[in-house]
Amino acid sequence: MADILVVDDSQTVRNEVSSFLSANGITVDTAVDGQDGLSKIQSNSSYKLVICDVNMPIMDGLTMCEKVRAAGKTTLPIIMLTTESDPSMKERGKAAGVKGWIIKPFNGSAALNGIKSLLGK
Amino acid sequence: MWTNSESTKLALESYLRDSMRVSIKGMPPLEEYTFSSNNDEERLFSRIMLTISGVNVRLAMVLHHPVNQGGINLYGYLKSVNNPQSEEDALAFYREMANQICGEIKRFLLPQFQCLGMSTPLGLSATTSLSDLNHESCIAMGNFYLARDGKPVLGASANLYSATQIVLHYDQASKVDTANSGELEFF
Repeated sequence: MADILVVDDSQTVRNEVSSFLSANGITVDTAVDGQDGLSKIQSNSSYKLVICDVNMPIMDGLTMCEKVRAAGKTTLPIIMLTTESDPSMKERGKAAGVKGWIIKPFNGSAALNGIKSLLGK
Repeated sequence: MWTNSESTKLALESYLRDSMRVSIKGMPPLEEYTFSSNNDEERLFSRIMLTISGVNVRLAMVLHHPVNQGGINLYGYLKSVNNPQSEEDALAFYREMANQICGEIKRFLLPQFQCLGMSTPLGLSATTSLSDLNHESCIAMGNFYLARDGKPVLGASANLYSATQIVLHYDQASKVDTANSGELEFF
């Protein structure tokens, strides 16, 4: 029963984000790409937030977000953690129901308040 | 078609320099390393490639990272990991570093080109050499590496491909804003 699902093909990012959030009392589950993330979201209703990369093999993060919304999970907050700063990519994210955007490298202390507010903590 | 105009070469090397600095932000100070932009050294490194592609342009960015114990040691140093032993962790670290460097380069290209896409990291085989990247449609190439005691320890190169003549510009001010990197931007 994790609070947050972190979806990233980078083991380094999964470890960094998970370690930081766990140290701040937030439980974390991980997925290795969009397909894996979609599968876990559909089979687990405990997630209060999803943090997701954009560029990933098999299924990218924005496609995953579109599929999550199409599956009826319209209120689950999804934020992107990505190297992408392309304004057109952000627009596609907004259209797909993305709640927020973090540009890598991940800076936990800079993002923590926003993450907590999305978790209602 | 090797034009490799001086301004484009300098722009590529400036992108690489700035992007590598961003990707190692938050890691230990690198006073003992020297930033240089000479050619990287063959055979001591393994390579990870990402590409940025647009309608009339493609850029291949290759991170040249040390292998075996040298790769593990540098990973341990940069990430402040005591007694690093896992080659798998080191490789994952270099893949993410390559991803972040390429993302930074894309920010430099966005004001100059439209509709750019970026790939995921790809490990190049040991037999793949830089010469394979220098085929006839390559119009420019830039290199940048970190050196220690005069020897390269970590490098990056960028090859630019296009069927048309392109001149890249380096303008830090025109780069897509990164001031809020790491912060959560709400929509």
